[in-house]
Amino acid sequence: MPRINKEELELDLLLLAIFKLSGYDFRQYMKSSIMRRVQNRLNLERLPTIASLTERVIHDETYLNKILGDFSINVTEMFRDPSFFKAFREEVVPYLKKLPEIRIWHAGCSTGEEVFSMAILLEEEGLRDRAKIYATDMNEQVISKAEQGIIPLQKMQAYTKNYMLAGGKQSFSEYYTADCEYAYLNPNLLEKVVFAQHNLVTDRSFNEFHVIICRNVLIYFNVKLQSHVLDLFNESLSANGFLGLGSKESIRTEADFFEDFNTNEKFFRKKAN
Amino acid sequence: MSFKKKQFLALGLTVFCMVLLMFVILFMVNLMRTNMIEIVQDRYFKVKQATEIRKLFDQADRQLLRIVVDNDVTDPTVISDFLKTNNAGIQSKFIDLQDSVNTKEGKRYINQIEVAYQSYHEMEQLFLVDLKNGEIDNLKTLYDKERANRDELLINLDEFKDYQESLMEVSLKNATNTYNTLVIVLISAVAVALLLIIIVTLWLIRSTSRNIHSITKGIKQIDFTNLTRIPRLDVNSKDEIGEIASAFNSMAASLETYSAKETQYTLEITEQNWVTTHSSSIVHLYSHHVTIEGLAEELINNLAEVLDAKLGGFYIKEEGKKPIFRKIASYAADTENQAGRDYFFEGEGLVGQCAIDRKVFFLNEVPDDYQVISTGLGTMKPKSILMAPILLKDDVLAVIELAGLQPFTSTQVKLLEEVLGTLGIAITNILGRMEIACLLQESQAKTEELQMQSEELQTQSEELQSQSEEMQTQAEELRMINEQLEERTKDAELKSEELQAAKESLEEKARELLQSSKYKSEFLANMSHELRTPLNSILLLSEMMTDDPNHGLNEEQIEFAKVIHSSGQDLLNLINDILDLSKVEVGKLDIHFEEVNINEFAERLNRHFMPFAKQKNLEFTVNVRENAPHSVFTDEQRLQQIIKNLLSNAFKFTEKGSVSVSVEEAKRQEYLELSLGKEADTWLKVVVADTGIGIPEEKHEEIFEAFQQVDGATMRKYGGTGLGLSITKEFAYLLGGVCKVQSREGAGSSFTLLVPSLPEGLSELEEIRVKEEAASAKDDDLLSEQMTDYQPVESMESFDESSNVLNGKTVLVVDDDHRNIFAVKNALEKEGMNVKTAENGMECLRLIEETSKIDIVLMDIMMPIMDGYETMKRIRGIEIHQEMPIIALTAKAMKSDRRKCIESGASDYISKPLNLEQLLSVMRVWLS
Repeated sequence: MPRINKEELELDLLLLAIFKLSGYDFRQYMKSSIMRRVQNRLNLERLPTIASLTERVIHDETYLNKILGDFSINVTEMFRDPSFFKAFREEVVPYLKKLPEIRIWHAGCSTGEEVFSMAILLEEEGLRDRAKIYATDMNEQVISKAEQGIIPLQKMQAYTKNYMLAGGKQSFSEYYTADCEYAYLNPNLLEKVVFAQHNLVTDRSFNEFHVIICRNVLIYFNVKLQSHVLDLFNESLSANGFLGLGSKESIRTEADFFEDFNTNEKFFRKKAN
Repeated sequence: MSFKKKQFLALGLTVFCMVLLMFVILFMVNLMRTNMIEIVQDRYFKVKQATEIRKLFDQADRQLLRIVVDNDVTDPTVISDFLKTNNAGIQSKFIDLQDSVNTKEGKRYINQIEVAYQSYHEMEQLFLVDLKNGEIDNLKTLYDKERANRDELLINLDEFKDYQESLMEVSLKNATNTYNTLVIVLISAVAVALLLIIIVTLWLIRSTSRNIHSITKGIKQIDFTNLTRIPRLDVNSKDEIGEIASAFNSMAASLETYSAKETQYTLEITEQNWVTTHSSSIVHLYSHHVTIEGLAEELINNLAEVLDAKLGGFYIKEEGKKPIFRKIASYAADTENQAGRDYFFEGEGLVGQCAIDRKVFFLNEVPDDYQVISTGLGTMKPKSILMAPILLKDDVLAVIELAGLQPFTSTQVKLLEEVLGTLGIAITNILGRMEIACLLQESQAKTEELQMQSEELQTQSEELQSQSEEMQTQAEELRMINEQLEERTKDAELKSEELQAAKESLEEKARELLQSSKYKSEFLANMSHELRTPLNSILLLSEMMTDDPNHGLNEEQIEFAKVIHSSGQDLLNLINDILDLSKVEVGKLDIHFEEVNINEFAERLNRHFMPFAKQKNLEFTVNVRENAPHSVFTDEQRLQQIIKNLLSNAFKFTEKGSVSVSVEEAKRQEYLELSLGKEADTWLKVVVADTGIGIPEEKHEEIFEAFQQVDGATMRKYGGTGLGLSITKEFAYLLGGVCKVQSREGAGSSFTLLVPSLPEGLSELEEIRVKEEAASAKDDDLLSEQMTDYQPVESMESFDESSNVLNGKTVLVVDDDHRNIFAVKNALEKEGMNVKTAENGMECLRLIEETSKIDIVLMDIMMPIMDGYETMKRIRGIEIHQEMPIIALTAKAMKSDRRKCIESGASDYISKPLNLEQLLSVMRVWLS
């Protein structure tokens, strides 16, 4: 009888259950990450085994939602890694300026902070009227949060610094109004942004883009899923389109659709056939 | 004879002829000169002397003759002297002639002349003597006697002269002859010399050019494209040409050997090139491959092609107890037994031996049962087999085996050796590279994992933070409610002030209200007393005035009093509602569970509301059903308040028809449906129904919210604050029950209250929970949605009035423009901030030093004395002010200044002219 890691079996069953119940497929996510999230949930709920959690997930929708919430890691900030946005502004934007129409896809946009950053950047580069940003995430809750364009006030100081480091051309305060709790992004910034639910694992390409930004999403995927997603990006990019990844990410697939554009800031460019 | 000698001979001969000619000419010229001298000096001299003698003789003779003839005897001495002199001259001439004349004929003539002259001379002597003696007659005889002699003398003299002249002519003739001879001799000598020279030259030229021509011909015959065979020169002369020919021949010989060698070298180089080209093209393959299999595959294919092998295999060594060589690539192998075994052990078979010996093995005698090479049409046996180990230093890394139909040539073997020499390194490199790639992949995965973990950690910490935030939110919400209460208090103040304008006394009371609002808890405690009492008196007095028992007021005044009364009534209701609601919301409401007699309760309702019904001409019934419990345990006051609120609403919104209250025991199903989870045996159900305007379905949930009515129009028509139902709902929660509505627009409404009978009251925990629930209304699914929906609205509302972030904070405005300072100061003071101002950087620094607590600085850049950049730098130089927020105010025109602002230490910057909302936003950000 082959030795089976029972914990992994339990985890597989849990992920299968989640997939069947919700349509969200985490089976190709990095096991280590998923396992930690599940363990975390087990500790919070004081459950002994993953199987017991599976049982609850199956029978109690609140648990399903909780665990879905756990799996959706929404770490983001405005102008995250300012040098990335600076490089985008200085190196990619000149190419975009030549295009009559620009479509940008933020895949895995989370609560939208990077989308807001991109909208500000395009505004400052005079590309707002030509550009359309498609911001997607698999988590509908964060999408609806992103749509509101509301940012907790205490984060704004750090964002202001990021904005400056990313080569901001105006006063950051021109893009928001604040009350004592939240900063509200100027609604006209989000006029050209389309927020939509989209799951990189299960959904197909939905348009052709000139730029795809997908930062710190692939790290949660195993290599097979990563290459699946990169295929998807390849399908969705126009010739010579740009792909921006997270600072610690890289393209590790066999197929070489992409060539390095800026290695430090993880910009890649789709090869023109 | 050598070429040199010939040339010397020819040239020497020419020179010799020239010299000879010169001597001939010299000799002949000399001969001619001798002739000339003889003619001129000898002959001519003799003729001249003879002539002289004759002349002298004639002179003497003439003298004598004159004497004789003329008798002219002058002086005999003179004549004698003359004659003497004359005689001396003639004598000397004779001597000269005798000396010079050498011919016999001449001498004879001279002697005759001399003799004749001697006689003549004697005669002269005699003559002279006679003369002296004067014998002149004798003279004549004497003279005549001598005449014959004298004639003879003259004839002799002439003959001598003629003789000498004839001699001269002979000499001249001789000279002419000599000249003619000379010319002939000269011409002939020159002719001979020329002839000689021409002959020698011709001979020289001919003998030289003939040899040179034979050499040229020989050289022309050479085929320069093919130097392997060069024709030799057949010149045997011993001269230089002969030497050239022999030198040429030896050169041709060496050229032939050289060309032969060259051909050989070219061949070798071609082979070497072939080896190098192929080996480099194979070596070139190494860099293309990242896997050993790929390299092996391509290598064996290339090698087989180049070496003309028809079968090939590549075996890589796998370390182990006994090293095993496994085939990872093959050429022309088919599925069966072609290209041999898949693996072999070290030392196993020839190929294994090859691995041990580390040498290339050749097999040219292939045994019959050796595997065959297959083509589409058939199979054939290889002629030769080659096994070669691939080495790195002394280790065998792999083995290649190749089989061909022809024996392998040395060049091919050389190529193989060449390739194998570098292959070891390449294989090691690729293996190393594969390992590195593997490690890189691993490290990349690790990095991503780290990133992932850090993000997860961040998420967890964010979760923790959000949990703590949630706790804070709850506290925050409590605070917010307080604030809202404060706001509402302010509203109340406002209303009071309105009243104050109308009535002085009310103003007094309102001020009390204003004062009390500062302390919320005290206000809450004292509210009923402090507000209701004066309101009561207002109501009372205004009602009294309305009744106007003394008829002292005119109609308008009565109308005013009515307004005051109804306003007061509204205010009182409002205050009551607010109080109730706020108490519930802060959890201050005490609940006293006691036994409530249902019948009595119904009776009280009936009594209380019947007058309203009658006033509005409505039918009103309180119906206690049979199954109604006799009594329930609950807080009677709150229960009554709930029902009263519901009834008030019912009466308010019903113009005609009926209002009814029915009291019964709830069915088990009804309260289980609500899943309130209260452990109660008995539930009381009270239904308040009316035939009023009804509530549209979409509003059913909203109406339970504070300040919500169906719409604004309703509010204006029916008055009221919209707090009643909200309070109802909260109280229902407090009692552990729930309040629901059923209604259609225009078809009346029916409110149902379900409350449990709790003899033990709520347990302490439950109580807290219920209160919290009531306060935050978080967990109720229906309501929570609404709450979240309305949250932004609420915060937007609060935005306008509450600025608690800014409130009480100290701001230092640094600007040199007084108008700017005034405007900003006004605006910020309205936000409740303490505003300090400074006109320049120095003042700013002084203020910062003096004032202990400054929360934020607004810094203009362009200022006299010390500008904003310098000031900010200095502020940042002070350790305790490193983190103090400084907002730089820059002019819009100077965009480049933003960088300077940040470098100088500004936390943020905004452009002038200032937009107040933007300024406040920024300040909120940096004061949060």
